[in-house]
Amino acid sequence: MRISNFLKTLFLFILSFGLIHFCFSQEKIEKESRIRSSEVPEPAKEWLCDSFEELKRVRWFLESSQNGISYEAKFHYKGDYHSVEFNSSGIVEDVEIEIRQSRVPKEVWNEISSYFDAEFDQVKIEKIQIQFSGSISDLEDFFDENDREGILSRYEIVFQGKSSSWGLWEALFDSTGKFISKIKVKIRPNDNLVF
Amino acid sequence: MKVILVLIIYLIITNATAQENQTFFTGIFPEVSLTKKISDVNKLNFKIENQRVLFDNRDKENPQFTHYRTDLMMFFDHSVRPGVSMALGIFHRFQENENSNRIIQQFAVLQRMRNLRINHRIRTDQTFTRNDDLELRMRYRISGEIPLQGKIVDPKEFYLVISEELIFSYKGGDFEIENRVALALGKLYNSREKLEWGVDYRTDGFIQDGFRTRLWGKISYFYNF
Repeated sequence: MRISNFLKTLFLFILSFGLIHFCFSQEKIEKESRIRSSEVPEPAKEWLCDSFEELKRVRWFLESSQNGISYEAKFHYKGDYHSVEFNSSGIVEDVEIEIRQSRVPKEVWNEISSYFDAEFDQVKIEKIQIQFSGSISDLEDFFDENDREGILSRYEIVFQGKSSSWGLWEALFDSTGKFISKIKVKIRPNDNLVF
Repeated sequence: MKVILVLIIYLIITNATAQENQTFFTGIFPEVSLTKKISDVNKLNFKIENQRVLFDNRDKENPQFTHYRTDLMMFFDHSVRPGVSMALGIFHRFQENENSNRIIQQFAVLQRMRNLRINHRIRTDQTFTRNDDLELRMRYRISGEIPLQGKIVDPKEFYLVISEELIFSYKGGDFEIENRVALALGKLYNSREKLEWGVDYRTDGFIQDGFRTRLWGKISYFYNF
């Protein structure tokens, strides 16, 4: 009988906890949400059309944080997955393209590998993105006419690395493969999937 | 993978053509899961689940609010590498005349994709019930988490969780199969807390007599600290 009362109380507790949290959850948030093309500033859409001919399916996201808002376009183009980031006015900031390791020039990969060898016992690459930044017109010329003038390229690599224990990292390397910086990537709790 | 797919299709067909006098009961299933991080790679999970029957086609008095089971469990989870973990668990079940204890071994792999997370979970467990045979089970669960507002689930956003689990059991010389399908709508309140509302549909008795289906309305609260 006592356990029955306890369980009834627990059940009501769970329900009420949910309701309370609708009202009182407070946390600084950085979030992205899917938006319609019509909600995106015109300069961003125009730049995308000029730089990537015959682009078909683009998914737009609004990213908001304490630093403000930005827009991101994600799409497949010529077989590669692209992410293009625009500021709040719709001005392009950078373009990231997912690539395979085989497409990183050999001498660049050797430089990147030497960093991994020095810092980690084992490394497993999860994702490689080449990142292009520059002025609006330089970026447009680069994607439209392959003109590299004024373009800064870098490699962003997400990898699992083992030193004392395994960790997940996102590292930035310059165009020659020299290490710039790295941050630890935290996997969002997956207790609902695991237990 | 193909074998598992064929087996799931077989179970669904068997379910659809099952005899009419099958056992069916339905009810509510609240659960609370608390996960304590004890180091970068180790954590403890405490979970309590309670099942209450609201309708049972074998009973004359319906609706009812009958206690069916309460399960308490604790896991020690060790991350082998990012997204891959092994866990050991202990479990106690309160059930009328069938209180039992269980030990659980678990291996889980999380696949992170652009806008989807898929988790594979393999479990073996051994259940000890007084005056009853030891039950040995092997379980495989695949579950997917789909963000509903963007490409990843951010605080204050909703998501869907879909899962399918096959359970093979051996007890007293008999084999049995159980199938569990669950669908839930979740909300991530902040980086520590989430709440899920869903349905959990369980079928068993495929091999031995007594085909049975159970449908649970589930509400689950998850807290990480």
